[in-house]
Amino acid sequence: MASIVLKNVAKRFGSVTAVDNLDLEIEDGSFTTLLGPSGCGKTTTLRMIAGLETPSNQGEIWIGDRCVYSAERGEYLPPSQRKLGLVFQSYALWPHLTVYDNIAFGLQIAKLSPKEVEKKVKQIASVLYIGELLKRFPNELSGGQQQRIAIARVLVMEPAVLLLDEPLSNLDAKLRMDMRAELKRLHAETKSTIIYVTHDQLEALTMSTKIAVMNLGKLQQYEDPMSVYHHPSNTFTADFIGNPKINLVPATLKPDSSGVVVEIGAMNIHLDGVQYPEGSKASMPIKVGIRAEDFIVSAKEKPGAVKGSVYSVLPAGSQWFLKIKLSDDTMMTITIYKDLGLDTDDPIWLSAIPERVKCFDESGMLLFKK
Amino acid sequence: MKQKMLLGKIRQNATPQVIMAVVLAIILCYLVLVPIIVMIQQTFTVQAMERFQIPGSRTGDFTTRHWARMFTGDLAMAFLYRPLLNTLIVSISLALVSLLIGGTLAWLVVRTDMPNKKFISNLAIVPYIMPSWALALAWITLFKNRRIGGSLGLFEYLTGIAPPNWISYGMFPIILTLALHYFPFGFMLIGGALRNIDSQLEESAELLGASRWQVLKRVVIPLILPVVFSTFLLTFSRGLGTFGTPAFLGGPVRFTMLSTLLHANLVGQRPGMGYIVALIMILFGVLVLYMDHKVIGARRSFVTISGKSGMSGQVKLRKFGRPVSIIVIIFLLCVTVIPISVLAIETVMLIPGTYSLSNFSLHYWIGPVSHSIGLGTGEPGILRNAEVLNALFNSVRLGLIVSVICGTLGMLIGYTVVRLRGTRFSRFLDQLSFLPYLMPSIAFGAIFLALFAVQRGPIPSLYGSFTLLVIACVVKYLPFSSRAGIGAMMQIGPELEEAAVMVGARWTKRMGKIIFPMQKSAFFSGLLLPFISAMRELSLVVLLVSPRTQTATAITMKFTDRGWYPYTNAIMLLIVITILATTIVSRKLMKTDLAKGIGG
Repeated sequence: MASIVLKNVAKRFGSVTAVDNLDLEIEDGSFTTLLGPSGCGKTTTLRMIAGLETPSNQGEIWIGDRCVYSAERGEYLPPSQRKLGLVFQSYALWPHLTVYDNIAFGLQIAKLSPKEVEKKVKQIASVLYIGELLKRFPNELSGGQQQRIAIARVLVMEPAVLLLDEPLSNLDAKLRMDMRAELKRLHAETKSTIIYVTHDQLEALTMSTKIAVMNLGKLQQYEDPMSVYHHPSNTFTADFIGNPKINLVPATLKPDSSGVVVEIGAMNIHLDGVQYPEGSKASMPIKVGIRAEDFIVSAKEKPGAVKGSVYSVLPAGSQWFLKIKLSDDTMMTITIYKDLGLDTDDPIWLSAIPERVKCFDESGMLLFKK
Repeated sequence: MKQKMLLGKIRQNATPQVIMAVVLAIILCYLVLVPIIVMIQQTFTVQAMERFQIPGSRTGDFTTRHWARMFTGDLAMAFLYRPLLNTLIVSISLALVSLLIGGTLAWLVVRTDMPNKKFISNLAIVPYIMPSWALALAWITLFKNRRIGGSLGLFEYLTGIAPPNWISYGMFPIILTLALHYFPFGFMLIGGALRNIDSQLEESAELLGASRWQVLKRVVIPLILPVVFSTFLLTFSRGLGTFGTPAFLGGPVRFTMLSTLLHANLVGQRPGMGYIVALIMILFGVLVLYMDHKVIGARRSFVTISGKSGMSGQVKLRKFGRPVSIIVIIFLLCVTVIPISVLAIETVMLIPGTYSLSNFSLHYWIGPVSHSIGLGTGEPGILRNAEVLNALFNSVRLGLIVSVICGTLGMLIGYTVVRLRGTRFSRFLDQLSFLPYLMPSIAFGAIFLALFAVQRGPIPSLYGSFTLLVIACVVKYLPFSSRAGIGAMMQIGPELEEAAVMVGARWTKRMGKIIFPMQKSAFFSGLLLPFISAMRELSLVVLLVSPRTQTATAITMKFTDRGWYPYTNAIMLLIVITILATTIVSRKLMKTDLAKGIGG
């Protein structure tokens, strides 16, 4: 059990900055996800915590009350002494060793007696339901089984923190669902700190207690999943999280009697009880983000709703995705949960749920924080 | 505080791969770059033998005499320009001829439905594993005429027609026999390239309406062109550095090439001139390397990209299939089994040049020392000739030691290059270890002669020692092993090692328990090529051997110089048998594939 603190850590590869002055505090016992597109620095961050990469001569890393890296004091603790377990994206199971030997390797390096090694391997094998696989070789196993072995190999060392680098990305869709549940259970049972790297926003939302959204080496937002989803701190986070993608369109913001008005073409959205930014002009250009499920849609004319036309209909079983074209050619993606019998080019009326509308200033930062 | 920080920094950065890269780079620099400097210096130095030719000079004085004599002297034509021209003509022609043979064979095997492919593929590699001048010996045995005196050639004996000089000796047979030795390069490299072309590339062209011929012309040939060019350069540079064949076939008609010129100069105690020849050859080697890199480097990549490469459509030979197959097999037998048989027959004919059953004798194999007229060589048969047996033993020992060192170094270089991938250091090491690949062999021998002739600092003079042979062969064949090592390491992701780092396994543990066990089969199959190369090497070792460290290949020179061909042939047969046996055994035991080692 341990918390992890990164203070002003950076990593540069030649002229490329992979991680840029990162500050991050990961709480003890949390399931924290590092989320971002490829090349955002999430894996590099994980590897710096593990000790496989060293930061570019700045900052500090603490695991629990132990400083494992400090540029200033010249401290560096090698990976094996950090009491971490790392599960690789490719599992990195040694193909020439049996499952048993794979799991036992670390214990043997630590010079445990063969009896103890056997006891521990058997124990972890029963926890992860891999007891009958111990004599096999990795290439005789399915992807899901290999995944379990990789986790067992790490857990048998009883790490204080478990690091997982995109562990599910090599599995097929169905297995991925199952493994998500298993990992969440594992977290609940072991109560260990887990740091999980992924580019899959759904995975991050469903599993984490906290998400650290990263882009271009910088931390974008660091909050619990629902906050990240409903109150994205900037347009990047808003855009990256959510499926289908959030509708992010240019708009005009004006003050009115009891709050502000957001004008998207012909669509006016009144936001109550919101303070218009002080010292601004009579109106300002902004960006507006509205999630696909945050619209009210009607096939008939309705007061307060604007008219658009159906560009295409994408049924998905329990829900329908609509592409709607507004009169000023703005496109909106909308999710509905009931079949309205719509066809291409049908007229449609829509309005947005005001309290779900997210406004961003021109630099992309969230306005009207709660 | 400061000291602690520095220590910390070293601990973070001095990973095993960095340390190893530094060590390897220093050793390779010493063995590859320093000798070239030494050679340049030697060409400007008055040599011990020349003190009296240059009045008032002492050994070690500065002089430009060698360069002046080589390039402008009265004898420059005979000393340099004629051999240079000969070498270029021979190397270019043999490269073209072997490309033509190898390319045609490759196309037939990969892209047609010719019968007996497997047999043909196996047979087509045999010329390459034989010593390069085995064919030259067979040629002499067959087409020897009376010019060099002694016995008759088999051809003249059978037909009564004396072959003209141009057929028996000189440029024509040199080009032909070398081309017949080197065509397997073209066969394997072009065959590999043809096999690797993604069939979808051709299918898309066909779907767009291209005819078979158009697909070949517009898609296939452009795709394999870089490999063809690369093969050409490789064969060219091999021709440049080869010594045995020009020595055997050129000697009788004073047909000189750079390699024989270099040998004559160094044996004749004229190192100043010899090293100039070596430098010229190295210059060509570097030029070839540069062209290979510049022209092909960027383009080569797309040849090896193979997606879901289903075997692409094969040309149906129909009724020509069988005849073509038979012609190819006859051709291959002509360059493998027949020359070996000719050599074998020669060794069991007591009186050379008389081919009859009554003349049959095992005298040259197991006969006693004889001083009688006609047979008075004073040498016992080779199987009871201590000198020859010692040389054979040396060859096998050399092959074994060199292959193990090469294999180990190759793996370490592969590890270092792959782990440091993307850094300048990795590229430097990669290129440095590849440099000897295209260096003319005999020039490489000269390099080591220059480097180890005298003591330099802590490094003793190794001239005449077995160690020197080992070092020279290791460096020369290192490209095979380092390519193989890099290729094998590429298959092993860094996380397999990192997983062991995470649990605290030290570097030696990781190498011993993770990396090596996973590389085992690649390691063992990588041993074969250096072994074979060392067994059949002549050009490289001919300048470096001493009576004590004679190799089987080098000792044949002694017998050939005296015209005692049956001995030469018998030794050659033993070498060929050893190599063939090793190849077959390792193929059976370890599923080694020679073709894989030759790429690059």
